[in-house]
Amino acid sequence: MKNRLRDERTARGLSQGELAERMDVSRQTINAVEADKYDPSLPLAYKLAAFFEMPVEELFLNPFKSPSAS
Amino acid sequence: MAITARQKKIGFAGAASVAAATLGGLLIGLGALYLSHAAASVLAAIALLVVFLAMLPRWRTLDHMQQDSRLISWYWGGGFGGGLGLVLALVIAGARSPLFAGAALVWLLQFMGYAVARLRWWLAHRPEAE
Repeated sequence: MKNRLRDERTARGLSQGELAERMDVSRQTINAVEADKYDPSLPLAYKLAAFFEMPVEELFLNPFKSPSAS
Repeated sequence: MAITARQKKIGFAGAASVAAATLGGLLIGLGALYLSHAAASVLAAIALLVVFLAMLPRWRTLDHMQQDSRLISWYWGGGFGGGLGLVLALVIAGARSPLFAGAALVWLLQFMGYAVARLRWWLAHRPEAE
């Protein structure tokens, strides 16, 4: 799932390891989610969205919604 | 790169489960060699229980992706490896050999364990009737 996780993380000056520690997941998981190699679980998606203080759909682009609809 | 507290926890839990499995295997092997059948059976059951209990903390420290990777690898890799072992035992030792009987028993028990775990999962995730 395409997302803005890398942009948001780097904007806050966090490394993947630091974000992983705050989310209580492995660094590999953050890396895989950022690279669109793994879709996060719903709780992790919400946890990340809450951490970055934005709606989930702003952080993770809804693949079933056309851009013009938003 | 610094090792996080989480990585340490996973590493420790992993080392503990490997140590428990190694010790359990040794105890079962030695028990089968030096103890009576009944005593060895009890020891094997206890060792198996201890190994599974030792594996629980590691499983619980893994995140969703890490659990997913292990589940998929076990389903496909473990399933194919077990099936291949069964075929090899048949080819090498024949259908009436103890090797094939042992391989078939392991394969059967593995499948039964899978079926029980699957049923338990289904029951736990069954929604309330509307």
